[in-house]
Amino acid sequence: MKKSLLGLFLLFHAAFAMAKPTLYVYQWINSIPDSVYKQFTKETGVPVDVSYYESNEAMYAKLKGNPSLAYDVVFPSSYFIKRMVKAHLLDHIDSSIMTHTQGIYKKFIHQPFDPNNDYSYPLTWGMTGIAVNDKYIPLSKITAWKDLWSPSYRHQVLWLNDIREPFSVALIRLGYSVNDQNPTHIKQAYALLKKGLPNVKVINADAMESMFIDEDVFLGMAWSPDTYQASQSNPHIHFVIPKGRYPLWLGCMAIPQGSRHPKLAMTLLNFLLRKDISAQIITGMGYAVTNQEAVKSLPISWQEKRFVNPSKSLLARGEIEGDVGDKARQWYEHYWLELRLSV
Amino acid sequence: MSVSLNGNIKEGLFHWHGLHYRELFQPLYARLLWQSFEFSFVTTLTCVLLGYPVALALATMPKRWKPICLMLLLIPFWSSSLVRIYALLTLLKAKGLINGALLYLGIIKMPLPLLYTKVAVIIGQVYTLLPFMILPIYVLLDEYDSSWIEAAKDLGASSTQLFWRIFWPYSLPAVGSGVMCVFLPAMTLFYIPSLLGDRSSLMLGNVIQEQIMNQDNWPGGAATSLLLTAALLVFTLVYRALFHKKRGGRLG
Repeated sequence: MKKSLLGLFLLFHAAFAMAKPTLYVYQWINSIPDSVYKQFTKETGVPVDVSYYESNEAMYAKLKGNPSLAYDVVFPSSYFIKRMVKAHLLDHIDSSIMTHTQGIYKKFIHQPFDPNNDYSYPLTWGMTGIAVNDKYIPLSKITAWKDLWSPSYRHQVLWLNDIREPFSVALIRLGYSVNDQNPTHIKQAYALLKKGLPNVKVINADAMESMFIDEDVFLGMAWSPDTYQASQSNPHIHFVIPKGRYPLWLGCMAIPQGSRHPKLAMTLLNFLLRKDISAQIITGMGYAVTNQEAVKSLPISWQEKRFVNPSKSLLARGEIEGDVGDKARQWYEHYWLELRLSV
Repeated sequence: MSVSLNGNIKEGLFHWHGLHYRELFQPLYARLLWQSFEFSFVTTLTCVLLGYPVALALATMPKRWKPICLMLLLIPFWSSSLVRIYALLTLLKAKGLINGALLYLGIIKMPLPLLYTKVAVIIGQVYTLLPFMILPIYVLLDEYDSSWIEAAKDLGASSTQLFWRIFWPYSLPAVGSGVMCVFLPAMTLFYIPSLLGDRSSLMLGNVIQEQIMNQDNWPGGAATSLLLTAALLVFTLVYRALFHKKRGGRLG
């Protein structure tokens, strides 16, 4: 009975889908503005249905837990691509459809996690830096990662609840790569993070913006676009790019296996990379985009913002967070739990 | 559902035996269990201390007020407990109602850090679970016989003696079931520590959520759930043993 009902439902669903293809997009909350999809619908006649996630892990768990979800486009971060490819969650992208890729920063393509960009193209990118509220802490006091360890900020700091970010910061301080896979180095990073724990007030990622806006927290690790969005509501909030290296992440576009309209989905990916559309992503949400021509078309006030229009040297300081493999990942996860339970 | 879970657990246990991680994790889980226990214990104790007087007041108040007071107690619980926790957020924030009022009255100069503390977790849990303490005690106390009070007073008992020698022993089984109704859920309400707590407010429920949602470690999550279930079972058995002994004592 149940099966036949399900069959009936699928039949209707399929019939409906055939009559009028819809693209199902699964994206980070507050990342790509709706206006972009409206324009896509206007130009192609294809409606776009958007749902949101708040972490790579949540997206991964959902796709893996139910492969029949049939999303057409997802936006995993750089360090998630290889893991998803290995789990057979991503479909090939036909490079011949991707015509707007020439503007992408050279640094961002042909990454080790997807050397030929068979499965993903980077659309947005961002920095992991430090957010500061200058009402409570003078901006001049926060210049480097080690300042988050300073004894003057006991029980005040926010850490991003994204295993890779705190570890990246610690690995940078130790002089290692953010993609380090050596268990000894990971353990050293853990020890350094543990030293910083007395400073940590809260470990959070999804409510970080409102915590800063409402001044429940005024110092912490932060992502550049989130901090930009928060500073729109509370002008005391500033994004500090620490001295030395910083973790750089790519918001990649990919097509999940099971997509009903992969060709159409690729058209959407290509559309998002177009200069004027990428520019809308910058102005709409404060996300930096990989198409470097997009920012040049914007007013000077945007071009002055370092996190969307970085100098060559600033860009060179960013280290792209890539895949670390399953084994190292288990070490990271183990030490993360160990940290969360340390009092 | 249960079959898939079973498969997962089997795979999980095998997995954990196979890898040397099992030993690494062991003390961690003991600490986690202890911390969950601490949170639940404080929550339960607070619920008893707050809930008992309320139940007593409810049971002894004039008949016509009872329905109104019971309604007032229950109305907030028509909405989802998650929504109520979000409501607490707006109360406890640095720019929230409590800090706003205190600042306005000039009692404090800087907002108090109320939110993202262990105390906030306890407040959230007590707020969510208090009715489960009040109601069983109230139901039992409500059936008290006013002749007991008269008899006790005739025999020269003071109000303190009246409470400790008549009401308290009489209501003890209800307190016991109230404790169970509060303690067991308090171990599992993962969203309260994750919304209100500080960096180390972590309970077993949070770790299960982390393992399943964030680490893609379903076998691990299933194994942790099993640990939680076992812990709850032990507490239930301990409670039953204590409760039955008490009752036997009273009868004998």
